[in-house]
Amino acid sequence: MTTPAPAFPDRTTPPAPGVPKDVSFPDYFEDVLSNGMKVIVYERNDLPMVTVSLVARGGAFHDGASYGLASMMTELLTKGTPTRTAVQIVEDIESLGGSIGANAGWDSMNAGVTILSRNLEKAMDVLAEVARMPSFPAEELERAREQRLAHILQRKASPNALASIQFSRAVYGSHPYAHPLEGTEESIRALTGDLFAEHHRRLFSPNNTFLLAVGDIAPRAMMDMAERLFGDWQPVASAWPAIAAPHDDARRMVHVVDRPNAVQSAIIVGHIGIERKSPDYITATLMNTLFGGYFGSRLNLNLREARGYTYGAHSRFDARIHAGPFSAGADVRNEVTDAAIEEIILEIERIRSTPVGDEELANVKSYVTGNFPIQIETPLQVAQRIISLELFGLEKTYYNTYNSRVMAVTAADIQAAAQSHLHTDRLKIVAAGRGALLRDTLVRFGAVEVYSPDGDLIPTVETTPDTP
Amino acid sequence: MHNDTHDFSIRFEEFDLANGLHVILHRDAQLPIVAVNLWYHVGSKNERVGKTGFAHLFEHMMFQGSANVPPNGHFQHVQQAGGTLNGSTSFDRTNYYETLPAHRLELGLWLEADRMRAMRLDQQTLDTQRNVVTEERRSRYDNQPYGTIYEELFSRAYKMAPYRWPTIGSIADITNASLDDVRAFHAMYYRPQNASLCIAGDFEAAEAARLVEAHFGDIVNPDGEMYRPFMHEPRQQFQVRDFVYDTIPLPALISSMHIPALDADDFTAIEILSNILSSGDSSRLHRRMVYEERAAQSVMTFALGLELPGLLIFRATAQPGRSAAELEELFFDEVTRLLRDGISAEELEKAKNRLEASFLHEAASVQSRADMLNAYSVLSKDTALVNREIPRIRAVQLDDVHRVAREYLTERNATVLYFLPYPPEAAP
Repeated sequence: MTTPAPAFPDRTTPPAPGVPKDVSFPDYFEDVLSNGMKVIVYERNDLPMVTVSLVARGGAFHDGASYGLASMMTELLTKGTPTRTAVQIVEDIESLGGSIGANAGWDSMNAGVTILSRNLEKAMDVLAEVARMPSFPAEELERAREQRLAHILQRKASPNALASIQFSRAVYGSHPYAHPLEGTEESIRALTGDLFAEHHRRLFSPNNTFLLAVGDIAPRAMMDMAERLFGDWQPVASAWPAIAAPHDDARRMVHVVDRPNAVQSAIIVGHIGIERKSPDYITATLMNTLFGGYFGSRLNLNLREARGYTYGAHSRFDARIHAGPFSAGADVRNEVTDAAIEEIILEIERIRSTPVGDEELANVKSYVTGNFPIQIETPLQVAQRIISLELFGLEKTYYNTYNSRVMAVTAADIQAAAQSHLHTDRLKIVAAGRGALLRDTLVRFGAVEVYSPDGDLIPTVETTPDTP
Repeated sequence: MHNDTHDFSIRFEEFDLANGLHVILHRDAQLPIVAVNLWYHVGSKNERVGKTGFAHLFEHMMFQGSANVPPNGHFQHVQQAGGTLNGSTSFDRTNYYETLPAHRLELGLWLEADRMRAMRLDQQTLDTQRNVVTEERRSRYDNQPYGTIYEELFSRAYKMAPYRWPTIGSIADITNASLDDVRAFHAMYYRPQNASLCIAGDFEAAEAARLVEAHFGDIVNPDGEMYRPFMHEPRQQFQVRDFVYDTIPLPALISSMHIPALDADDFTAIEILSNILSSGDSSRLHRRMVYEERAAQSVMTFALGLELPGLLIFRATAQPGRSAAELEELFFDEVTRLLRDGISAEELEKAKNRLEASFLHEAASVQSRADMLNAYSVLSKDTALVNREIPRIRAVQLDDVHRVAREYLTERNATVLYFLPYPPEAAP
């Protein structure tokens, strides 16, 4: 018997697509405990693992003048309760093949465990204890403080961290988003155990948190466990002082952070962007994807593929409860720092002034909508989206109407979004790199202020010695 | 009823095309997506001195067009289809991968076959990519604090083995690369008999096999032998010690011990040993150096499994006011204690649980499962090992851990490198 020769396809053109299948955001279980605390379960049995997160609303946004408060407080949650020391907590979880941790963002805080599902019950006991009854032991606070101060010191050697800190400062002035959420040397030194206990009392309550379990766990079993561990937790009335929305300083600023030995400049340019709840969110983020949000974006094709200035150029809207920043950036070699910034500005002008072509728009829509199922593949990816729905009060159907709303965006919408949300006149231009060089080359964008890695303004008059 | 991890397995089938291309199919229809993952058995260890960084630069060039695809067309086609893609280069292998909506599987196969068959070569795109890779080197290594710590270690730990230079290479070598080098490298290594293709996700096996044959079946292996480095490292006779200055605020210690290759019998026990030393906050070195003595900001240990003998690497960064010498003393003190007193059954059980969990964690997406399957297939020559990993972890006994500790955690087997802030008088 002879095998027929295989039919080789026409290789000069890409193969035609098959028939696409519909994908919807997975359904998940929601209920409340007897005290009103919300529990969400997304069950997936493909791997014998579970991740449970206790999410509290409010984060570094509420730090006040105690920058780093939420971040240090959450770090200390797992460092002691009335019945377990820091050493016991981590030993109890890690011996079961799990991990435990807590962290704070701008708008929320999260304490969570990831564990082999056969060991979930024991891990939940520990999670409930650290979320409800942290004791903030003085010795652990000192340890965490030392660690944090060392981290802040290390940050000063990182070009990207230095640029990012200076950028937030330039953009946000006196709004809470101006300060690093990990805190500053001064603010971290001033934190006390009482501050943590009070902050915890106000934010960690059944009426300000929800429990989210994803992975190999049945909803009923989770509800029973949650009722046993959290059902008697008492609600707390807590009001927060209103914080005014940030507004852009209308001036352009050019700030350099001096790293005299740098072999590259870390560039970040931008200004205040949008709120997560903005009705423009989908259009603005689609516009950003096209502008600098994926490999095929204008910024990356220009700065990387056409000019070879950088390994990669990106932009993003970091949308939060208040308007987070729009930023565009790249690490570029010293001598092209000004040319790269010039290109970013030209790209902003171009997307504002010229409607995007049909093909480019179709491509970016196709990328964003086609990518959606890949973005909800793993339980943790789904969890991240459920958390966003909850925190920002989005409709439960949000992700199922997402693709059709992306498809409805027109070239005129993209241009309008660029005109409303991107501005060259009020750009805050920040570069961490060689101060002496950048002071001279970036002056074409405006008066240059040079800062030290400590954040101090370096006087503009160079004090050069008289004799060579 | 929960699954038990002992039931967990990655089901797959595998076969070779007539031209030697190895094919692995792993079906999982949870979502209508599919991963295409292609490994070439070539990495920076196939380079020669004077041409370092070439395998990686070459990987960049594979995105600069092929016979029927224009420069950057690979990115355009995949992203327009709603997919994601990338490639990466390491010591032993180079991989290329796309995750696509399931109905675009054939697009991924067409693109990979097109560039396996023929590249599109152009001096201008090479010039641009040499610049891009130079900036990648600066961005990820030269301009980052501690960014060159691994290449400084590897260049001292290895005297002969082709792991002694970094995958990214030197800027001088990258700048010297020519189009002829690119052409020759493709002819030598980018051939069906040197590749393994894994498809994972939502597809019909028979249809996928038909498509693979249709797109790859007629690619011919060029004549000529592939260059395989054979330089094995002579056994280290004396401890290697050195120090390096960097623009950093705090000293760091990095140390390595020579260990056998990835597929050696001892490797799993070494991973358990590494885990006991510093995986998690309850591990020995974290407890002692970070928590109790407050000498280190962070500690880590990992067993670098490579095709030729690898390294067990330990790294710590000092807290302000503490020195690299103190870190070294504490590290070796813990090593001595482990060798003297051994480990407990509870510690062994914990390490097994943690390794098992991290293995499962890695298996979460179809793309990472495809990559795991190719790793076992290419580096260990046995794809089925993927499902023996958890039993292998479970089978390690206390004596195994004690034996590998005695064998490899010795002073003369160690390379010790201090990474130090420039003293004020020497600052650049």
